[in-house]
Amino acid sequence: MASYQLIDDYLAGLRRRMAWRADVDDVIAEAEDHLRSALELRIAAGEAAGAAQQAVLARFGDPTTVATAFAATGTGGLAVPTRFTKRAGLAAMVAAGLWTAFAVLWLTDELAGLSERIDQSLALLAMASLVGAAALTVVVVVGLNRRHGGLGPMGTIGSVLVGLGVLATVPFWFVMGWGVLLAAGMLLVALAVHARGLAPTAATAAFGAAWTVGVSTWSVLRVLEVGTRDEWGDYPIVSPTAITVGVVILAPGLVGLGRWLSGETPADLDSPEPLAAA
Amino acid sequence: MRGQSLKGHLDLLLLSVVAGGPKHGYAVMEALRSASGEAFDLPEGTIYPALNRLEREGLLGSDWSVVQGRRRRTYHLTGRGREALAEQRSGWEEFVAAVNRVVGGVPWPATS
Repeated sequence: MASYQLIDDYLAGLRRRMAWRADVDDVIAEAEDHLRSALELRIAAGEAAGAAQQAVLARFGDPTTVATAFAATGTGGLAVPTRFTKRAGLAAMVAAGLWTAFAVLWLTDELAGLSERIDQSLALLAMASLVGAAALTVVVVVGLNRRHGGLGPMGTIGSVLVGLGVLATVPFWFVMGWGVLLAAGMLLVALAVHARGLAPTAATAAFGAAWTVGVSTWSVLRVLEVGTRDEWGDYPIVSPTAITVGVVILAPGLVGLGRWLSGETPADLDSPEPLAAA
Repeated sequence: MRGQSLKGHLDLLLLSVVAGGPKHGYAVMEALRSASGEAFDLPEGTIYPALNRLEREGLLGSDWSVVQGRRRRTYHLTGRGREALAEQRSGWEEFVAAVNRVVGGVPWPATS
């Protein structure tokens, strides 16, 4: 097959802009067949190779127009990075920080033997961190859904469970309530994400496993009756310890997913309406 | 004709062209251009997302082959595509007839 530099460069540029598609090889193969078919006809008609390439590429449309056309017709059901998924990536990294803050604040509150006033302040800060972290985790889950063009029944059930888990964080001491909901929801979402093969595997695994490990740790510590028993028959160190274990796994997972989502070039960048550019 | 004018009608046009027999993307574009008397002129690369979407919706099917050392995807109309085409064609004919009744029944403004 003859090599035509302008066509080759164009296809390389189109591939870069379409790298987010799982079927990028098929898209490029189809574009190449189109361009070479058109080029061969022009050259057979006596046109010079350079002029023929320029004419063929001008008719095909610039790579951004073509890539945007794919995104514009494909956001319903296609795995497309968008400005929203990019923002969801940033939300994931902030959520990692807030989850970490929540664990540190609660653990400090339990271990440090602080005065009542400081104790209450830390509890309030911990609660605010938890609600913020949980809310941003919902944004991440929505972002993962959109990035994959939907996550199917398993991902949808998981997303609903995550949403319920976030609502349950408002009475934040009910750790097993929101913990179990988030554990089940995030595990299902992560399994659905993993099945699609786009997201980084280690980060997806950490995201899915974090609260399952956290809830399991809570159960084990509770059965073993670790720590001092308080006047309500509870073991106050159990919950913050289990949460810390969960967060140690979750935070890197969120950062990994966040870097992936925020590092992609959105396909819905402002650009001329694809068909209007004709 | 600007591509914007084709928006909303592109599916009907593409299904109509493929209904004439299986075609690869370049042939679809050429058939569209020649059947319209070169009136439809849009960036050729932008028909692929539309073909892709019609395939996802089950209105078109496609097969890959190797021609002159390169991969080629050829589209064909599916059973559902045939039904959708008939439906869209009938909707288009009704629309055109209604527009003609309105436009044809009104005298053209005099130009001086």
